[in-house]
Amino acid sequence: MTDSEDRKDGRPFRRSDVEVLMPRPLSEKVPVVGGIKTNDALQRAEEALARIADEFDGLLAEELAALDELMADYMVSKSSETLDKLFRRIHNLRGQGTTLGYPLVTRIGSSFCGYLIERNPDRPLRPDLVEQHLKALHIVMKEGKNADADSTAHAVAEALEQAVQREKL
Amino acid sequence: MSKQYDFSYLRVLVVDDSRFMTRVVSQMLEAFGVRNIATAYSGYDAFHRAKEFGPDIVISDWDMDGGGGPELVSLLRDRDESPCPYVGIIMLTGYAERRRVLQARNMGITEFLAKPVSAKALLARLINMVEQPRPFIRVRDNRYFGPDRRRVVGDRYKGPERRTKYKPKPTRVGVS
Repeated sequence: MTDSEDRKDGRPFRRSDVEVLMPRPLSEKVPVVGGIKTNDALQRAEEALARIADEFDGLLAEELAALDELMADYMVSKSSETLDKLFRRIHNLRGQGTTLGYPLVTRIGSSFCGYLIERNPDRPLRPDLVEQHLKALHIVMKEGKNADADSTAHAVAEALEQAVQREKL
Repeated sequence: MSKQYDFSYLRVLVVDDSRFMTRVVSQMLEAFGVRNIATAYSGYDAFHRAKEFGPDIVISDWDMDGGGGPELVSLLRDRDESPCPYVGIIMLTGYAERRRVLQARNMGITEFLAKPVSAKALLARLINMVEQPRPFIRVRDNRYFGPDRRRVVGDRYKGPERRTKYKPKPTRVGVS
């Protein structure tokens, strides 16, 4: 990290420009005795996540239905606004997938988001590649939590990643 | 003996446009023993919620409709009417590129946490905020206000110490 990255406007700071303040520390509100052991806290959190994960199946189905509608709209309109909505929904799903036992949702979602963010701007957007990501998410939903053990699902994810990689060049 | 953190007095505001994600994070916090949790679904919504709720920590998503994480950080840190300019902010995001991390750091966040989030990573950030409080730095002309961005105390430099006598004395402020 260079100094210039510390300075939003590129001007160097003078010592007289800087005031150092010490806020009330959080430790005043968080006693280190009488609470829960770290390992127990983590175990309870994992149990809570497992309970929520059961609901993720339903959420995934609802999200995919919404994504299908957006995709159908996009195929006709080619609207950047619709594409942005698709991106946001898939971006949210990828953030939840691994946490809730669906690492392939995160993997396919990351491939999709990477395509939209990092593709070579000289190349036109490929609606077919966008659609293939959606189809891959449908495969994961169909397989449920077993999808991660499914070699076909992994092969599909890998093929998508490779296709996206080519679009970044 | 290992520490047993009692988070029950903490007030945490969870902000994400995905209601499901706010539930995921809230459930993890409850498992850690946090009792006072509020939720909001956009940056602007969160700023108003913060006025009533008075959070000690804000955990915010980056990209949201209706004002995202960056807007929220700016409101909380820089606005005169901010109810909690010194609040600890964890930026929770699927964007983990170095550019984003630096951007978040320069906005004045306290911790950065990449999605997909794990319970272990979230707990580690909370403990770090308790155990490693950082002074706040205010640079004249609103050029920066937020936690000190220098975390690493370097031990590789072997030359003479030239900074000590200029070290500014921290001013303790009575807000959290």
